[in-house]
Amino acid sequence: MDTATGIREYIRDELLVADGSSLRDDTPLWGGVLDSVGLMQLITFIEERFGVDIGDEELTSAHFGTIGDIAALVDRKVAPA
Amino acid sequence: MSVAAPPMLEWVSPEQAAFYDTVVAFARTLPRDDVRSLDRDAGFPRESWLRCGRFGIHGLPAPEEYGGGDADVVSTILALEALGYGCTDNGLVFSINAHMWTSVVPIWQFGTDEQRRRWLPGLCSGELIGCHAMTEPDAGSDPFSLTASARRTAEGFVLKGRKTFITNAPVADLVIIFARTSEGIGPYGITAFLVPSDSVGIDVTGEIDKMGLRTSPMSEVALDNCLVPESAVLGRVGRGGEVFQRSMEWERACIMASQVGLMRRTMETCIEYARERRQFGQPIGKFGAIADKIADMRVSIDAGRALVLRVGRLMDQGRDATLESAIAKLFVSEASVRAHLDAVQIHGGYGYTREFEIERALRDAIGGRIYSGTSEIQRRIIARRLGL
Repeated sequence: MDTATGIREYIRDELLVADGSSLRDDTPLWGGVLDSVGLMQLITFIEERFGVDIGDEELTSAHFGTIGDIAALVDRKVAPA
Repeated sequence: MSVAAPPMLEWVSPEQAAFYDTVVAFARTLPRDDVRSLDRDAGFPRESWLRCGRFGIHGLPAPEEYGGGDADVVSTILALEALGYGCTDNGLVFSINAHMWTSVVPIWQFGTDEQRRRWLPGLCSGELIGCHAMTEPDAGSDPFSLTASARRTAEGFVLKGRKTFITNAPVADLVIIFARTSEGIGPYGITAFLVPSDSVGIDVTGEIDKMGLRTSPMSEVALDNCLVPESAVLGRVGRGGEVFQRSMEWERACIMASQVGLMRRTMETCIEYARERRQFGQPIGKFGAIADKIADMRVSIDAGRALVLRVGRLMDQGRDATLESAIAKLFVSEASVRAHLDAVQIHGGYGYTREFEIERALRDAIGGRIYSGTSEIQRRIIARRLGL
């Protein structure tokens, strides 16, 4: 399963988004799909599931605006140096 | 026979039920006679506060090694219901709740060992009083829109901003300040700082004159270039939203437990009055219009207790209880206002006077629809989890 699919499934299955099947990689998450609690749960999931540490400077809309943004960040972090 | 059978505690262990009774017995020893004058003058009952600390209320869920009671969440909830039932000073109970959820729990769960050793023993014993400062004049129901700033310097962080509606601030030794350290998204970019209230640059002013919960002091907090060291950061830089959310989860469950206790006390007062007060040749409790109101109170107490204990069970299992705590908060706070309006009505003219506790309890109950997230916010949280 690729990173984006794992994130999409978590949002759909655990954060109880009713219309989760329509979530695309470029669907804006913050304020529409996720509220503040949902965003915090998603970030906890990402850190645990992918074993990455997300820094303060990375917790921005540029990195967490969409599933595609998040997947790109995670893939960069887990890629071998 | 008592005027009302104690509510059944079907979902707790015999030890937890016995603990409930122990806390009720303790709470009934707290002074009752001066609550009316304290309420009128907005005084803080410091001696009762210290007695509750010595009894072990303030530190209940915290580890023993830091002066806490190592209690599970369900036991903590039961103790706070018992305190709300046995103690007639609802403002004191509210201040204790605020202290526990905004200071004791976050320092225990997010603090370094050094921070825990510095603050928790005093906070658990009641020798120190804590609060957190999140709300701002333009950031209430939308707390993460706060604008207080924390600028990093070579010496630490410089805090600037203005906070309002800060429970316990006028008597606090420690204020946990939430301030923005970066732009962040949503709840991120906000950091929590442990700030002694006597720090240079922090000013607790403008005590707020409230409708109810008047023995629980509240004021504004101004931050004017308040310099704090790096070691004052609670949790991770930019992750203060997680600290705040944890406080809210505990607070919404446990403060409502105290409201369940208050409803039980009010119901028993109403039963006693309805049995003694005679009109048209019979006790007013024989009239369906009166009896129905009291029956509804009993339903609210049992349903409310079930909802808050469900949150406790989930939290004890380490599971997320965001939805369930919002449901409990919404149900109990609204039911308590209805119950106290009915209690005033049952007592007629007497209920409208300050001679009876009912009038004060109603004013105190109304606050429950506002603090820890308004009823409208709780409905929004619930609706979001229904996919709406």
